[in-house]
Amino acid sequence: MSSLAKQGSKRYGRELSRYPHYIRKMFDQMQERAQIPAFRSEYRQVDENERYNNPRQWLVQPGDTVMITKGKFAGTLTKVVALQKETNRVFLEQSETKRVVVPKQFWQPGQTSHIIDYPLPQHPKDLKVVGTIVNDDGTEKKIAADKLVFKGEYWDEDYQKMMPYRRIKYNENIIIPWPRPDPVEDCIYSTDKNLVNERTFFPNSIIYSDSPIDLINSMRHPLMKRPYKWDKQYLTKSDIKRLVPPQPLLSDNKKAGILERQQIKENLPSKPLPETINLVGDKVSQFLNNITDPHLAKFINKNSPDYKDPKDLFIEKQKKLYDEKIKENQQLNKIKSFVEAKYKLKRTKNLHI
Amino acid sequence: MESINRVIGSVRLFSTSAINNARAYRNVVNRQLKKPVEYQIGDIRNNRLWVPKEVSKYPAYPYGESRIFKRSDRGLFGGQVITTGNKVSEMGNRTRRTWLPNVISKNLWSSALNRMIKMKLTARVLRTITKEGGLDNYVTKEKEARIKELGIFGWKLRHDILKAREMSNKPLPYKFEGEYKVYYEGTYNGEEIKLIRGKREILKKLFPYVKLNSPEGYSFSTFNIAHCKKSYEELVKECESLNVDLSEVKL
Repeated sequence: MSSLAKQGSKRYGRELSRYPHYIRKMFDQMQERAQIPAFRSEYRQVDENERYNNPRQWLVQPGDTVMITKGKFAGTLTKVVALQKETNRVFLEQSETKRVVVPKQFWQPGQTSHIIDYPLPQHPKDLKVVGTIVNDDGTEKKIAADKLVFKGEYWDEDYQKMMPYRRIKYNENIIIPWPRPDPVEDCIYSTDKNLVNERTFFPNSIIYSDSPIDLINSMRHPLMKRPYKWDKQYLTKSDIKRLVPPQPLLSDNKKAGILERQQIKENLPSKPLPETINLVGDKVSQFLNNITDPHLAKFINKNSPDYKDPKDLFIEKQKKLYDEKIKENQQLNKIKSFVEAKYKLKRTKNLHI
Repeated sequence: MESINRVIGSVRLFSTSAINNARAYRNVVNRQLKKPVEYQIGDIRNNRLWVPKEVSKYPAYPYGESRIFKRSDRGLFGGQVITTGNKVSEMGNRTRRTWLPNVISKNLWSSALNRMIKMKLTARVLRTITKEGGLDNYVTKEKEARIKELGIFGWKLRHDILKAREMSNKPLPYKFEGEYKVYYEGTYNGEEIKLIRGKREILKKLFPYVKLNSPEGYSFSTFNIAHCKKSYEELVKECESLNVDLSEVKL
């Protein structure tokens, strides 16, 4: 097998996701070192599980007008050109650049010099999304969203997926719509959408499948009983039975002891007797009544179950007054509406006559 | 009275507590054990986890196996292990030497298991066995110090003895009627019946009748799992409904 095929293949190639993170980092560094300086990326590649994969994480999409908040170009309005998925960053129309020397075999059409300005991608957290709102007098105004929230979803025909509503935080009635993506043109090999959605298979029965009986044997060798190395195995009941040794047996003496202790526990009173409660209560009340220190007495009064905070009492009183007022107003309104209705009726009657 | 006093005087008084306090079982208590893992059905099974082929007969010894002097796990050594020290000559020269425990092999009677057990044990343990009044009493004592000095051999023996005692206390599942063991008495198709065979024989008789009324590929093992814990009464009722021939099994 050629080395190129090895690199691409999932079976023979080195799959980085199988290695622990610290070894993965070493491979990344090796790869970085092998590149010529022009193609070395300024920012580290993000792990696959940390990469952004939905518009809620990205906050922006290609075509959005944004305001840069960091660096040399802070304050300028530009457009998002593309997303760089490997680093969780976006390319902008106007942004900071890096001067790189490109070898001649990698020159783009129309390039005349070895030195070019390569745009540096920007992180979406250093951008503010810009939207437009229409004033009452018809003039348009641009606003930059400080923070965004996503509430609600809708089916977007252009993106062909559910997209969240992008709203400005604390002003959630203002929605900044997603930009329209570039239309994808069908090539010669692409299949028609309606043809894909057409249903071609109708099962004859729910119980019996149409597939041949020995289909499974044809897929895998029947004598191969060994489970596949990377398949997940789960503990069964018999596994646990064999893994866990039995509990040690108890001797007759120990069993008798446990029974005795249990009986003693059952015979013990679960609640204190009324006599003991009275005795303790008397003693405690006597002690509390003899307290002379006013601070201590105040503290103890605060901890009694009947104590109520004066603040709470005041709030309660206010609430009561408020409720009474509402009731009064309701009654007044009732009378008012009744009277109004009555007079209206009279007027209409008069008109008819 | 004098004669009695003479007899009592000759017998050594029982005072094991002082000796027990002196023994620290340093070798036993120092053993570091892994914490037992709590497994649950459906947990992901590690590829490196080794699952034994058979269910273990004995519970795990709380102090684990001996780290030094592995011999002590194969007999009753009372927590004794090889010890080291110096041989000091008259000139004060020190040369390293060791002391082994006084190990003897012996056939001892176990009344619970009803047989002789051949084992290796130290003379000290033999002395305590005579004091306790037999091997069974020595092995089944509940004191923590005793469990420390048992070792793996003693722990297994203890489990065997306790199990045998438990079994002997259980009532028999059958009654004797002459030569025959009668497992169940009841009615079968309106007639009195006495079953003289165990459940397994009855299940063997019942299985072909059940198999006729069940889908293809119904094995005895699956049938057995569903039926082995049923009582005789339930099994006889099922036999009655399928009209099973029990003439070979009844008295």
